[in-house]
Amino acid sequence: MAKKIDELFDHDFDGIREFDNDLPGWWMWLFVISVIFSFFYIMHFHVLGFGDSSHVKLMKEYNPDYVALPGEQNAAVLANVYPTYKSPFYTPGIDVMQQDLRGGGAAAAGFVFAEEAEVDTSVVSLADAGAIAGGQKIYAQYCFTCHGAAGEGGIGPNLTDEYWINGGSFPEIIHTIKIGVPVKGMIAWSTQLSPEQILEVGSYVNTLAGTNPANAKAPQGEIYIAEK
Amino acid sequence: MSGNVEKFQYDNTIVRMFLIASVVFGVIGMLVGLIIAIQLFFPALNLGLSFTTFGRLRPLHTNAIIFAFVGNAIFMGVYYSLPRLLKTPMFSRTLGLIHFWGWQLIILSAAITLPLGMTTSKEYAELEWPVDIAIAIIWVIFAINMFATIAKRREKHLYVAIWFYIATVVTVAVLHIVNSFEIPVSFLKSYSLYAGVQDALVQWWYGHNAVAFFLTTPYLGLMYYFLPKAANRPVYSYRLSIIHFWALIFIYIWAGPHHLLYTALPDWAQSLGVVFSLMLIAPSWGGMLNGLLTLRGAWDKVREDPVLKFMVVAITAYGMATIEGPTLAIKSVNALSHYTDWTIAHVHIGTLGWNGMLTFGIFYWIVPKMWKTKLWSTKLANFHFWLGTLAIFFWVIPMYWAGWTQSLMWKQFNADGFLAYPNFLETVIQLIPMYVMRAIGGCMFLIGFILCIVNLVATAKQGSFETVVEDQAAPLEKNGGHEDGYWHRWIESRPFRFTVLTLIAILLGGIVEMVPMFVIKSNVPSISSVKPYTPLEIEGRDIYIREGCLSCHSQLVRPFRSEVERYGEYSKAGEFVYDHPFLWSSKRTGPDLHRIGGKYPDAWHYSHMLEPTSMSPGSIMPPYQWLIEDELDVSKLEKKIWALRKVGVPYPEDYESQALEDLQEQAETISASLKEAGIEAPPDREIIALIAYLQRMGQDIKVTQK
Repeated sequence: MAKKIDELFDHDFDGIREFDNDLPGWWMWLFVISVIFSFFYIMHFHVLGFGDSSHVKLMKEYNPDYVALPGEQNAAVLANVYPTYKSPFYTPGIDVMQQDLRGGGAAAAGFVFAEEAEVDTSVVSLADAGAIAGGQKIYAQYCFTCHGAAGEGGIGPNLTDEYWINGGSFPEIIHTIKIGVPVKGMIAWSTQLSPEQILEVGSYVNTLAGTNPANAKAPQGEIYIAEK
Repeated sequence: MSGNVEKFQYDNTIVRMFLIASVVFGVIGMLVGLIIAIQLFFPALNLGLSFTTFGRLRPLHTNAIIFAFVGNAIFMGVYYSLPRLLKTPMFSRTLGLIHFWGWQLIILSAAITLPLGMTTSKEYAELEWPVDIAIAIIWVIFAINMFATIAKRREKHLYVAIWFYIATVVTVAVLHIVNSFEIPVSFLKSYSLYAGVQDALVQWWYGHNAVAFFLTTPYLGLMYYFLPKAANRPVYSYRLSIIHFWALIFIYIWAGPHHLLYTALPDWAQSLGVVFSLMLIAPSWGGMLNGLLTLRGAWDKVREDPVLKFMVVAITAYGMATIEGPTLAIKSVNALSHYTDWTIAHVHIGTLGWNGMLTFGIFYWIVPKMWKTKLWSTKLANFHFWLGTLAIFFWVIPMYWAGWTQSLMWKQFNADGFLAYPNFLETVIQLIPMYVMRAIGGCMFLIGFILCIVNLVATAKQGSFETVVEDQAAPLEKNGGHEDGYWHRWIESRPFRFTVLTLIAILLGGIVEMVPMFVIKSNVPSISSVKPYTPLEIEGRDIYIREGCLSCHSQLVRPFRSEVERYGEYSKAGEFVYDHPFLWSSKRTGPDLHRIGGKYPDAWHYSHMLEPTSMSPGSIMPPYQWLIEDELDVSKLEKKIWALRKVGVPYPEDYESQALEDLQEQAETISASLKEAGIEAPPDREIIALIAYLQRMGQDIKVTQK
């Protein structure tokens, strides 16, 4: 049916008149399609349960092979999965690991952190100037705020004296950097630095011993004398 | 017929009053915006004062622009167009004056309380409870004046502009009242009735629809009056206006949850936010089409008339903002855009483009009309037009760039599986040049506005103000005329039924989303280890609210690997059950703080608040030295415990009597831990309370992990 274009209404409001033109076709289709799409969107995610919930999507981000638990797509069922808090990395049968501050590489590899409980005594300090310079750069970026620009200490302990709170051997220093001292506010740097970087910054810290910087913080912890 | 004509007058003085108020507060609001924009690359601009920090001025900027600049412009337009469209004077000049002065007093109270840190922290609803009540009263007075005017009209049918005015009045009242339920602690302090996820849902139902029903629907009403007037062309399509009006107001109200995508809000509510945003594209564009197509055959006028130029850019900006909004509501896009400057750019397409440019267009039209003269300088208005249009580009392009840059940096992993930019500050420093450019854009826009004022004042000076305008019309015939054509003609001549239908349309979405959130427990799975805040933490949290920390810091870790790696465990609904109000925030100029608890030593926080750059070189956070100097005010502690218990936080009976003791005990331990690090901080300072709160944040779920 051909409709008249620009047919004026026989009426005006304060001089404003109105046409009664048809709605643009593409506009109508845009509206209709958005409504139909919306219907299928809701069906897909919340009625048929095909779409992943935000939670399951995160699990798949860590582990592409992750298989959702029965009902895990559904918030109501999740409520029972978490009577008390459980890590999203929780899988039945394996104890929840303290994952809060764990790093990307480790997490992606399957969330096994047990080896970090042990001090790796095999690590040795790097000696080449490049590595030390790299370590110094990392130190200047992350460590100085608490340990001072020259390692003299501040919020954190002095790193230049012979006293160490968590052990002063090189493997112990590396271990402390890796797992942090959460109770004292030192984060586990294994979340932010690669093992190589941790080795470099640890090696740099090693070079600070006995430098006697100004404003040095009083000794804390126990004395450690390196074995000859 | 001609013997039946009645004479009456339109009052222009009230229109002039709202016009002046809009201009004055517009300049102030934009100036405050410019100041905080500069603070983002020059933090010292707060001059070391607490009142002028970004956190306290940001709400002042948003409130001034939305409620003072745009608000007064709405009233200006309504008081001008409504009587003329209904062929009757406004119902009451007295009510109009109460409305005007009441509204200006509310704005004044906002200008005083917000810099003083008296805030509820809920975005665009920051004003404290006595002001909330005043807003409700003044709004009702406006509503009475409007509906009484409609009741004594001489025009049977309501024109489309009035439909939009009705929707605005009804919906804003509902939104404001429901979102403002709070329990007073003192004259200027209260806690939200709702907690955590529920508070977030109510707040963004409000916040989203404040955009819809304060910045959009009334302006569509203004467009439907002033555009055909200025262009002297008929409106393109009546039937389009019917469909897009009802679709718009019905659908808009559902879309609030799109502000909470990937948060602890249940997935089903997020999905409703997504789909209703998508369905909103066509209804929004209906308004744009009806505006632009009205100009068919008048484009030669657009070339010459600055009024139409401003309006064309405004309507185009409306179209851009309303296609962008639904785009940002798609979850995968939102994963990128949320918390970044992209959102800020999006908002300013709407406010600078749609609201700003349409307001300027109306100013340029209405001032010569009311002062019975011609515009003083068309050339200057044209210059303003180009300056303003360019300013919008200068403003938004750097901010889009900033948003994309930062978001991609947040999400970037290196080959070893570590965050490529683990230090949040790296991603901020990257944006500084963009912030500088944005401030230049803002400055241009403000200069344009000042030129506009010069032009308007000169126009007024050369003309003579017409206080009242005579008009005449036949009275409305009772039951006269037969109903013809559309069913909709019928409802248009019945304002009461029209209003009821509108009310039903705007209530549905809110009810469907909110009721399940409040009554079905599984929507907020409880976590047994989550406990109420200690008295010291309550005080610290109130300092966090007072300083407007949430202007820059979110408290919600989204379920993405990039966020879990950066901040820690993603945020769960059950963690916020005692958060009155919720403090998730919507912008990360600084890092998320939900898992800040226990991350750094107390001394780190102390030093950081005293001088942020000492702990984070290059930080754009201002120092908060007054927290270190000022004593903590514990005089309201008992009242706070009482109020929080009233809204459902399970403090034991009579805990008030013990609260202060507990507070002091906890303060001593923090003071002692600072001393250990060589910092002398008496336990009665504000900083101690803030540290207590920061160290508690996000910690409860870690208790059961071991």
